[in-house]
Amino acid sequence: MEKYWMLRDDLKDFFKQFPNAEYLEQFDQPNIRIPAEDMEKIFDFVKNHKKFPMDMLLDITAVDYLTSDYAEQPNLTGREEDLYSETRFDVVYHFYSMKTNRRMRIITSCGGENPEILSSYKWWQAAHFLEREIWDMFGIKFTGHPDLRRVLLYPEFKGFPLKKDFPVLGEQPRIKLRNPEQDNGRN
Amino acid sequence: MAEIEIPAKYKVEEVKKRKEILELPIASPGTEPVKINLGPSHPAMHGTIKMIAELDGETIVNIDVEPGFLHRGMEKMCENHTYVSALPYTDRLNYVTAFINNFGYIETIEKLFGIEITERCAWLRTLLSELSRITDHYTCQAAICSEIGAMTPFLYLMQARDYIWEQFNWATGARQTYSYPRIGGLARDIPDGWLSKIKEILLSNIPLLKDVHGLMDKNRIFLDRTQKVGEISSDDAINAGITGPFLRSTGINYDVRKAMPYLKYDEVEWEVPVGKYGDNYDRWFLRMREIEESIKICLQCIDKIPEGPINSDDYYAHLPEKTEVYSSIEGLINHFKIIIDGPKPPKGNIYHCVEGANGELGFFIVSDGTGTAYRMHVRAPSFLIMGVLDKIIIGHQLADIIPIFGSVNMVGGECDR
Repeated sequence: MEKYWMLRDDLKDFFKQFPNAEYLEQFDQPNIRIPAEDMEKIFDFVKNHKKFPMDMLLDITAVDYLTSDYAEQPNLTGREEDLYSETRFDVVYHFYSMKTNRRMRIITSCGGENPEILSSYKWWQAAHFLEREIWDMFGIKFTGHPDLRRVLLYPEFKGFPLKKDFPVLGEQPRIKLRNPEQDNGRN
Repeated sequence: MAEIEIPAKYKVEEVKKRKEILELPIASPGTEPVKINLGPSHPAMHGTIKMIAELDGETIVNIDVEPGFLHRGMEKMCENHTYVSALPYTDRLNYVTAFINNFGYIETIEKLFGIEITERCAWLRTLLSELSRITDHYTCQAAICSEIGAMTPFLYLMQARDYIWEQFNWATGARQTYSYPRIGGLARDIPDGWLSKIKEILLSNIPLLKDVHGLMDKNRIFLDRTQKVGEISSDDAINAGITGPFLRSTGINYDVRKAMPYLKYDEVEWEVPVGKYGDNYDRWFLRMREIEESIKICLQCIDKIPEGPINSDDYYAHLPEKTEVYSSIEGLINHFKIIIDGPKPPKGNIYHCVEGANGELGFFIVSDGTGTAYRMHVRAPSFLIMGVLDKIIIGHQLADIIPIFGSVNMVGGECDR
């Protein structure tokens, strides 16, 4: 069978350089979990890899583990003290190498009162809207993103809808007519 | 005459600083650009997008693309519904190619459960996906034509699309939103005589494509408005995460159907058409070529579809036959367990992608072992294209927005979620 994902054998030099990375295979797809402080080096390494340059950033998404007793985050059970847990959010990156037809998934955690993570806009332009969407939906800040504001929702929206503590039913407060000098709510 | 004070943010240095970050062209110094809102209610904005263009004369110096006028919350709803009942939401992603979205979602779940589908089902899914792609490309091409002012090809293509949709209606009971597949199979088999009818329609579409080529390809107005408009280089396109016809029009041969074959795409003969310049005209021509290739695949599928069962034998995840539900206690329990609790997959993360009409349509599911997805994310191809649209449009004239936006084929349902 042909291989479409970067498995452990292809990533020997990666694990040599980043011994903190954890490797877990699920459904024949690798999950590479890395600490958030290594992100900058890893983006550099992954994009300029000699054999498998990951020239396309396919997708970024986030997962809120607040209410799960799922194996990867066993400590979070939706209690109030879990709201600001350091490992509450996972940010999941999917990369694709056009030359070698391989995919790669990298996962990193963030959390705390103001979750923050390094932006990958410098390396891949695709991050422009993807990171804005995550900011919009989860309230995770991307440091170094040039234009981080809501993309799908309007600027006055209260809360971050894809967080697990955001209710399914509810109503948003009415907003006032915008001042035309206010530049469409962009300032 | 008193000097007009320029607001600080339009001062040359400030504008330069802002533009350098985003690598954008700079407006004439000392002037203030005019702002124009396009959309969200504008016939060429396909109803669901807003663009705030800043003009220096007729030239666009800055543009802000604002999607997000369809607040459906699809991902949030999928976190609150079982795997079975989340299926109809995927219809509404790209509502012109509902089959491709359905099959992409269902295949992700089948991979999660480890279910293998039958031969007949796989061939039928391939056929239906390709027919869906043809209808999407017809819609897109028709929209470009009508927006530029050519009504004849618009009417030709829309009519051809509706002939195919009528057959979908016959097979599934709906013209656009089918919810036709089930985990491990399809809702029902196709009716007798359906395949020969489809074959007849496809063969009658080949001369129609020639007519459309004849009307548009060397049309002076069409050439002026599409050639060298909306260009993007292949490196920029890859860097921006663009996939599908848009990427192929820049000369990159990347198609999920070839790169990571699913269903029966590796058992039919076809080729991936590629463009060269990545402008509107290339995208137009590439979609026309893709329609031809899709017709080729469809005709092969029709010849190759074998007889046999449509559903797999694995009753863990898919609904039992109605006769069994009404006549045996096991069938009844099976039915209610799947409807109420949902089938329970193993834990883990999974990503699966199919080639949608606009590019790679991916589904990322985090399963926590219950009948509901803990998190489901859709990688929508249109959304990434919207992220780079400002770079493509800037520097062009205001009127060029319309053909550019038409040729990228933004679909609101998929972009906004």
